[in-house]
Amino acid sequence: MNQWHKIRVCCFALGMGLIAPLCRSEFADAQVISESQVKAAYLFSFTKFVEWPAGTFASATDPIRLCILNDRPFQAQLTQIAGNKQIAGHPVLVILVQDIKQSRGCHELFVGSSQSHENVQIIDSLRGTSVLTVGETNDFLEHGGIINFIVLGDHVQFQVNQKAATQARLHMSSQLLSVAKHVFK
Amino acid sequence: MEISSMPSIRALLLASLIFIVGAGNSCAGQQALPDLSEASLEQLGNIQVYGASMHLQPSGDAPSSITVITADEIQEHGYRTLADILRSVRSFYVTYDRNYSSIGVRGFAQPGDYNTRILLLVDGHRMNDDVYDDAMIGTEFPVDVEMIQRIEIIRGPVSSLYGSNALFAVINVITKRAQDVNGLELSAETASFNTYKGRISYGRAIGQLQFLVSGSFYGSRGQNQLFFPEFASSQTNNGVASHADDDQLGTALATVSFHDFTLQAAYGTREKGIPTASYGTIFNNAGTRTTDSHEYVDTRYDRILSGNWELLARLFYDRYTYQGSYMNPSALDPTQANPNMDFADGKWWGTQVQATKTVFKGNRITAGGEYRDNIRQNQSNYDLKPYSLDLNDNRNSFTGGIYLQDEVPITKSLALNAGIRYDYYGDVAASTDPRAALVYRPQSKTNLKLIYGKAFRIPNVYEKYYSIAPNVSNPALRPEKLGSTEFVWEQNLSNHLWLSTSAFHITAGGLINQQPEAGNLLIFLNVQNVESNGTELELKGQLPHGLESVASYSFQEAKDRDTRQFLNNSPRHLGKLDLVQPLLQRKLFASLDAQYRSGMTTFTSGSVSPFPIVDFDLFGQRIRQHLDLSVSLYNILDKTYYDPPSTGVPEGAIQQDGRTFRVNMTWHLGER
Repeated sequence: MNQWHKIRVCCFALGMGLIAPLCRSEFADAQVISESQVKAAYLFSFTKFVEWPAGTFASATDPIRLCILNDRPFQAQLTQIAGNKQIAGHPVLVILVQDIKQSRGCHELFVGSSQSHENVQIIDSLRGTSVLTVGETNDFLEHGGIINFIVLGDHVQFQVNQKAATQARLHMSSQLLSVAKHVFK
Repeated sequence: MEISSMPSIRALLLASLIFIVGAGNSCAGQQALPDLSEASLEQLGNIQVYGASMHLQPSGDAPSSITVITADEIQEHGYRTLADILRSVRSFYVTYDRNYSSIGVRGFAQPGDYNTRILLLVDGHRMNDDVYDDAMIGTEFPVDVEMIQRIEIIRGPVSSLYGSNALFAVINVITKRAQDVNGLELSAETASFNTYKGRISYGRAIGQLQFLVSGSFYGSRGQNQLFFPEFASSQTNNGVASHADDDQLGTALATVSFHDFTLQAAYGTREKGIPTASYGTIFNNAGTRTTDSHEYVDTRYDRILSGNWELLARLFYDRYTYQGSYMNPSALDPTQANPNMDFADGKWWGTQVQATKTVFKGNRITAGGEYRDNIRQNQSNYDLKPYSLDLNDNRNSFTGGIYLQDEVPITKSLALNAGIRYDYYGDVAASTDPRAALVYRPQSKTNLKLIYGKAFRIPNVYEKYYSIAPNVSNPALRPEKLGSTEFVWEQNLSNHLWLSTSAFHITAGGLINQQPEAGNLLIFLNVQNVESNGTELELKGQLPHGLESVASYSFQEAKDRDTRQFLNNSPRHLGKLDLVQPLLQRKLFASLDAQYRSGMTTFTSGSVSPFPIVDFDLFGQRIRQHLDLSVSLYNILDKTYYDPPSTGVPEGAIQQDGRTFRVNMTWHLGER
């Protein structure tokens, strides 16, 4: 019984220790964050660190188009994150595209793993354009994709194909390159 | 004295949990959802995500030797049960006595053991029951394999986090989420031996509300005729057990989550005919069978807080029942049956609270407590003709544990992960189990890990109190203890090739084993002192446009330390090869699974021969807009091979299935 008393005291102390910081936390807290939410947040953030060639935007208030190839749940995630926000004065449009033809007007295009069988075709058909292609399959960069997500343990990281970025006349900030897990030149 | 004070302790623990959850919740009300759009790239990279797949990227940081199997792999390889999956895992082997499947890890698989030395979790919920400690992995596993999103297998003792049963491995089965199903999903399956399976699932996410419901049934006639040479006499149908291998089950799973709360309910029931004339029953009598049912409700509050806090609180209720009908020969006329009914009835609830704080980069402290109240641990047994009650043993017990784990970076490339757990039991001695792992990463492509851990298992009520002849009860059983030292080397050889090796030394003392007692009686005793030394090697590779392969070899020598004899049910060599070749732009996958298990001795002083097994699977993804199709052939070489018997099984070896097939069709009617 004596032993139990000690455990009880420990549990109580532990419990109190847990609760106190909960109530003090100042910032907005996360629910359990899913892999796709983090990826959607990256997609949104990448645009802050990439410069498109001059003339890409007709005006300073021309929207920046973030496209998702055939992945409605992911589009919903990205829409939620993008909200009504602007990036460098450009309003953000999240667009669900069904095929490659529709992707040509995009500034950024995400090709999820469910669409990865089209990787080669998509990347080939976007050659010569300035679309920032983002994928999540092992061979995405090899085919000429620009950014690829990788999952390391429980964390989502990304790799950059700088050669493909240069060919697409996209300028990537050093900040983005320094955070990338690998940069292929 | 102890007994009378128990209810108040229970009440207090419950009250403190309600307090903690309630307090956490009231704070939650003041907080908004995170705005990930404002997060920096570094912050995004540091978020711990759930439902992460670990394809080709083993978790180098993990302070243990881990294998992850994903839903894709389950589909591509045509795995039918959790037992099929575990069989393919490095250093694991599975034996089947035509009723239950038993796991062996690193040379340990006690005859007649109900996987008590493995801890099985579903979404973190403990599945080992409170009567037999059984981790059920065959068709008796209550979750449909098609509902599994991934499985994490941690080798080695982890009692420092999980308490009892976590001796050789912890297997955490993570079920699919609403968005993994996303709409209506229907599945139909047929296989050898008149086997049919159907499943219906529906998952949907509406804002913060996510729900998934799934139900499935399975029926198999089993082998019409099974030949057992031990019974080859004219009195016993020339050794043929006909229509006695049937297997049927039903499962249901519902998961609802809203913000940080997850409510999960699961139910599984399986009835299996026993063709082996186990426990002295009449041969070739289909009336000998067992039914196992497990249901649970688990509520979880899982929250990631800013200030790098994570909180997990869990409250659960489980029920497990077992019913066995054994057709014993009647004393008056041995050809007539005197059915013996054997029952177990377990009921338990429990709670867990855990908090994790990342103090600074790389330093994570986890502290938690767990309480489990086994409100019913009953066993009973009676004969029907004439009625006689042979056992009516009603028990209950409780346990409480607290644990602490800290991950500390020592230098830039060296980290220490240390943990300790204290478990209190009302009826056996308390246990304190430490674990420490040093993880050294001299460069990003190399991980070296040195791991030491202790683990324990408390004797279960079956081992202590089951006293149906020839069994004798032994209430004086003590916990078994295990210590393990392991060295792991993981090396990224190139972008496409990953090497993982480990060497281990395990010693275990006072292992509970069934022993002959005066006359023909059997008793569980803390008798065995064993050790196992071994090494494992795994190569994982992927060619840029396709072929994925995993090849592994493990060598282990498990011996009794007193007699210096090799252990029974312990193969020295295990080899596995998994190949997956994507075809037609990843619409079609051809996979090959090859496994080799060396011979081993059995507890009946016999042995089973080494064998290779090769399975082949073709999996078509979206062969029509909504349709997936999988065609599998198991044991394509049609090898005749045997598994060792478990206690109570009269045969010296149990023949396994020859070449069999399965066809599975799944319609995904929602958007994918």
